[in-house]
Amino acid sequence: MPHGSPALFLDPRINRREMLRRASNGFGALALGALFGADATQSRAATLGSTPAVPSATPHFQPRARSVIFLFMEGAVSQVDSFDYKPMLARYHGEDPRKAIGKLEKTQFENVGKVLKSPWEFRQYGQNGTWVSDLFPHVGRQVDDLCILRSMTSKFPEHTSANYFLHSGLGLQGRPSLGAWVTYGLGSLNENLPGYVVLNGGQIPSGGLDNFGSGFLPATFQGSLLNARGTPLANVIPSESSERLQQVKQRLVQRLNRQALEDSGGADALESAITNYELAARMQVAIPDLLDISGESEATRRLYGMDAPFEHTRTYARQCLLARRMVERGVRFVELTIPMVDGYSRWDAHGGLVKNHGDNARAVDQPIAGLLQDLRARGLLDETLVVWAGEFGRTPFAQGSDGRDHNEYAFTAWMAGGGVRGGMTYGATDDWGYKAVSQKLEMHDLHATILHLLGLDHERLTYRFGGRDIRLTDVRGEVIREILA
Amino acid sequence: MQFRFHPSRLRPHLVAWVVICLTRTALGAASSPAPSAKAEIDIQARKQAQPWLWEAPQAATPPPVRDPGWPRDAVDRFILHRLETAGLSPAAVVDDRTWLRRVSFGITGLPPTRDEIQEFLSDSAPGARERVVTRLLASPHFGERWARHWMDLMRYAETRGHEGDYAIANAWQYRDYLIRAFNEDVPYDQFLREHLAGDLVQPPRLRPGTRINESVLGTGWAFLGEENHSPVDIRQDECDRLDNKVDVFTKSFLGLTVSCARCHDHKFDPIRTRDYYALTGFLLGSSYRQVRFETMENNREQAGELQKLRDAALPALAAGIATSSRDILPRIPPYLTAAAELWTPPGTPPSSATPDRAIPSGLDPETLNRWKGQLTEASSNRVHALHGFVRRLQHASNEVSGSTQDHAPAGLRVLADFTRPGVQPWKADGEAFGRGPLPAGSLIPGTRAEDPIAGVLTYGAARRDPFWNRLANAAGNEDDSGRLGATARSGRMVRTPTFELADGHVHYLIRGKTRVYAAVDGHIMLEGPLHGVLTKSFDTGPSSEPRWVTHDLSPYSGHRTHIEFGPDGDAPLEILAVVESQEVPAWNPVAATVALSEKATTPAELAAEITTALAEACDWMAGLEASRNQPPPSDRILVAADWILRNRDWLGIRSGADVQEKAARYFQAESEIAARVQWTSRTALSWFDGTGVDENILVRGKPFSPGGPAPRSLPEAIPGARPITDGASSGRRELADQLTDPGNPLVARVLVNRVWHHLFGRGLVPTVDNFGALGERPTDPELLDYLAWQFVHEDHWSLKRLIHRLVLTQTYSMSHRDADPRAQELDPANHLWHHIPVRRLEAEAIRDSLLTVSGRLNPAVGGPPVPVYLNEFTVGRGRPDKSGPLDGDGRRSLYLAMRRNFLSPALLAFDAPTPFSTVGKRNVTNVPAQSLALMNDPLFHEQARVWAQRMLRERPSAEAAERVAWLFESAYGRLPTAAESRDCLETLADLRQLHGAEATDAESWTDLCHALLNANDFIYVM
Repeated sequence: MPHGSPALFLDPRINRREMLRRASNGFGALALGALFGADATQSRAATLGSTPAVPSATPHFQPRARSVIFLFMEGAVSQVDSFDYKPMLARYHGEDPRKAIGKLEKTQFENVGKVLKSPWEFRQYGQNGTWVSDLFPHVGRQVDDLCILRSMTSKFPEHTSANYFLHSGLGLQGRPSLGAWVTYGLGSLNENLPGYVVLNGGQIPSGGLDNFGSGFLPATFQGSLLNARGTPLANVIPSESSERLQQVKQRLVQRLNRQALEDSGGADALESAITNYELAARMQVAIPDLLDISGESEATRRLYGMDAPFEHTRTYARQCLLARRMVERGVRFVELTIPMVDGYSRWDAHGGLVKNHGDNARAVDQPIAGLLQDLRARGLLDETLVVWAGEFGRTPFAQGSDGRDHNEYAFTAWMAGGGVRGGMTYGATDDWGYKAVSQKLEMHDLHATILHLLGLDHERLTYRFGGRDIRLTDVRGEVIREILA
Repeated sequence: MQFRFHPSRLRPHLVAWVVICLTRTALGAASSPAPSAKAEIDIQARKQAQPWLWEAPQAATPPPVRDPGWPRDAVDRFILHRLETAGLSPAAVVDDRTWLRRVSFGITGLPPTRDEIQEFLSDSAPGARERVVTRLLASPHFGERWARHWMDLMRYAETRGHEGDYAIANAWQYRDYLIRAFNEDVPYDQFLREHLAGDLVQPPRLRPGTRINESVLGTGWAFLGEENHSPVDIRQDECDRLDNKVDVFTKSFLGLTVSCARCHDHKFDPIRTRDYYALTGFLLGSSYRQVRFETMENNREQAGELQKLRDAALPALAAGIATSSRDILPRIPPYLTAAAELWTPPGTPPSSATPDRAIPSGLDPETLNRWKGQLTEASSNRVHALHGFVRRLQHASNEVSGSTQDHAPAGLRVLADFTRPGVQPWKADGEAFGRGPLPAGSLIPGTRAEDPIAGVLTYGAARRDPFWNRLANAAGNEDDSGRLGATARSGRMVRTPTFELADGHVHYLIRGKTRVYAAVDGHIMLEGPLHGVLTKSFDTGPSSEPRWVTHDLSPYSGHRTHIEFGPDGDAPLEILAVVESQEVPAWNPVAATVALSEKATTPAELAAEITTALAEACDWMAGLEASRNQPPPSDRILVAADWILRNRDWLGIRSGADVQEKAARYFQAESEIAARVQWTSRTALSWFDGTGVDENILVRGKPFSPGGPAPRSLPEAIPGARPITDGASSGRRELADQLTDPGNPLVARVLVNRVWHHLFGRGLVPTVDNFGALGERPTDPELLDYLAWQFVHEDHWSLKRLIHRLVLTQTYSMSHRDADPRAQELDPANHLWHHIPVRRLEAEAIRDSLLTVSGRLNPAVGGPPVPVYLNEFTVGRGRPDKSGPLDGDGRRSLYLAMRRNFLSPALLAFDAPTPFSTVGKRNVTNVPAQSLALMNDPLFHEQARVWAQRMLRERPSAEAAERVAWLFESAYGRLPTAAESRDCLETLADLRQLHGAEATDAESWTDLCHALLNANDFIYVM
């Protein structure tokens, strides 16, 4: 595991270990374990005596996965055009859905058109002959690694609420995101990088950065937004004209800080702040190192599609490659937002389904397949849970003539690696792909399962806020046992 | 007031029916309790878990102490007593510089300037600390500091988040209200009353020296929450918003978490699901508006003057006109008879047209043509005085189709009836619709001296008074986003009671033009593809006849709503009734025409009857001045009188000189009132009081699963909580009375605890927003109660007095270093307060301190927010077009725009809360983003430069060591130690060497300044 040089700016006159020992509430474990997590908070709790107890940065039981890569398909991929093959749509194509399907639920736009067959062919892949559409030929070839969940549901047919629901288990702003819960529960494995990183491809989801927020959890656990292109992280590039210049300044800072610490009689708050300052300094090295992919082989780059003709494929390829590099370095939770494909509003194909889904899939298909293969080849797939999901599904009937409206009653998600069974499908929708009917799943079930694979019991991972022990899964959620490997 | 109907003809209990029954009937409510309802929790038993909490604090005597020399205040006796009991001693007192820095941040959120430090250090007279505290409390920056604390509770933001991050129009007026309220030390009970019922308190609190209504601004907090972009189910959306409001309300004011009772009785506290829904009633009975707070009080007064003027002047003018009108009555029969004989009804085929006949001698052809024109108009206008006449000419009966009915037919669902006063509570924002519906027979003022009375209202109606047409919003005032913004209804709106839509076919009987907003489920953010139908324009054209128009709200069948009628340009508007029915109602409460007796048959006989009616109308008008209490005129008199007034010109009715003089005086007086009216105003978020709504318990929180009733009330566990039954109002005023009753056990405790938390770093109840069973117990309950009692009974809810005494305690001046080595072992969490913890500054204080130290701080107080500084990390939908300045114009952080989707990353990194609900206690985290910001944020580099230049300007020829001392004192409030000074000089030498000879010395000083801003001394308070 590569590290930035530890204690880069420590004055050699003082032995840091000695200082740690002298402090009343030593946080020596900090450097080893939960970098931004539990211990820092506990030491603060001791100072102010008021912060709720934080679970130890150890799982509740033996974890199957160490890290999560969440491929968020914002805008909602149509299940009936991707992983949920419905021949009935072709049979009834062009007919009135109220007659063919029956009573329809209200939709966001209430502009109900005809039954709309998928514009894409479906083919069978893998050992079990799983149907996947031509939107995802690359991913299709990895189907033996996928556990496809066809009976996902949401509760909100509107992007922002559904995004919050998918991310935080509640359709409102202000709850901690899944990645924040995971980092809160497990801490980070790398002392130079944040535990929860959002790799931004260009599309910040509806609801904004709060999708990645820590809510009432300490800010420590919020997702750090890392741009795939441009400046990667706010303030991570040193402003000084030379490294030496920054070092001189930081040497002074550290001396002043240490004197203040001694004057204070070893106040924990001040000691934590010193460590934090050192970590930040190391991140200035670790982040550029993470982003420097010059050491990756040509074959690896091609595998991800970094040489693809489509610009957005190249962007997403870089994100996927960086995601692998992050889990290699012990980042707990990596989330990828999709690239800003020209002129489109995410996967949100209210009209022009063919071009919208075609271009969006073109951007992500090969990079995702490349990521799965690369993780497998490096032996990382077993300990890395890859999750692919949007916030809800789309209607099997048209919105207008050539789009599909929002549909919270059914959508498809899939998982791979990290202790799930590959080559299987779970749950089913009705003949139309309109509503989940068999082994119906709620967002809370997805959350419970992800936590479970990480060794966390979703009923025990709680945080006391406003007088309640709050869970990611509220009062619901069941681990999907059948998909555990 | 003149009633058109005999009282006995009023439908019995209509008032009660509309106001109470309608709003009580819950959405498809079952009358029996919900099937799954379990037995409710036992409130009294639950209260026994924390009996102290549910009794009001009592006066207490401070406990004895062994060391009488230590305490400076009774508060210190409580602290010392417990320390002594535990065998511990308090920490030493900090030096003056440390104390000054602590108290300056504590009270104003700003560091002491070097001048302030010198002034304090050189004040050796007794009471120096007290003088500092008095100065700080008098500073306008005090209000800014404590407003920001309060904004955390109210989840203050200036946009609504979600998809488009649309603006919350003029939200900052609430922020400035807070600043002024804290600076003026508005007593907390008054402050709280304004938050709950600032729109209802009489008299309102005015901004000193002005007529600006301050009280009403307090209600703005209710609308600072998120709003969803185009939710499919707006009832569900409303329930979520109500949950948020209840959460903010109960945590902030009561220190209770009630919102979890939305789905089930509280697991531990004496709070039932019913208590949750009992609170939502207050919210459901109130609606949203942009209030014209600057001008409403003045204009209300002017409206009163105008009313008095008209009451006094108009009847006399009408009487004068009646006198002149009598003169021309004899000329009417020949003209009307001739016109009837010569007139060709429109649409008559030319072949059957009456052949031209000679004009009878003595009649003016021009005038005769006018009469014929009147007959043509009357033939298609049912409310024309001559409509009956024309029909009789055509041998039809008197009966006009859909003839006048005073009352709605049985079974018709009347949601509002403005044809008579008092049917439902009058709810009008501003003066444009007057003080109530105008009864039939009301005189309509004209607009010029020659024409002082424009007509008579022949039916009762809520009428838009054109006097107020000039109302406008001040330049720079924000409109509501989306379709609501186009309704321009601020200060000129009248609304119906709240009701529930049955099938949703709603009809309005109106005349003129209006923009209507149906406030279904209180949904106000009309953006996105859905719910556009909630606002709609209607125009009944130029006819003088009111018409039914239809607003199809059938998608919202079963939802609660009220209807708001707003203006459309300067067009006239009269609203008579709102009903719900499948078909357009046949009900017509409009007096139609002058009915004629069956005996009259010839045109001459008919004309004679008309003339008689006109003469009666003249008598009626002439009698108006003498007797205000004459019996209500008949329909025929009203119609006739109105016709005379509207046709005076060509009828040749000329007012006498005396009438003209009176009219001139009237218009002079009216224009004097108009000159006193404030026509333009800024607006702010405010509640608008509606009618009483009692929610039903929603089983498991599901919007369409109503259970038993939950009448409006504070939670029953609170002593003095009484159900509020007022059907004519939301009941918030009574709620405010109950809440601020000194017997309320929670309000004062919660507030003094918040103040303690902010000053001492931790509340006496550490969970400041939750005093309930799941909160932490008070570390010193006796002290908490003592402070709460003093606050109410001695200090009369004065925050400044409370803060004044707390910061002058010996406890507050304790060092962060324990004097007693055993303290860490015996009480590591410092429950006993043996020291004051080291604290990191809040995000805003760090930035404000940076600006103060550099000299860049712009001390201006209040005003519109400074736009967000945008960088490549502030991204997403709804991103503003333009970035604000990097340094935010030097303004304090609470003035930076609070856009929900574009909150300042630097402030968030330092734990500024996301504004989603009440946060009384911020997180204090330690994350690399903070250190990275200190190291590399361009603002820190820029301000380091500004600071260095300032130092070089103010200390041009000083030695380096002296300059370092100057920097230390400005940034940390203290002088450097010898070692620190040496380290700085050494660093300076290294920097100079690195920068090389060609760089200016300012470069090296800038770097040194930047390093000093990075040190913990800068962002921590000892």
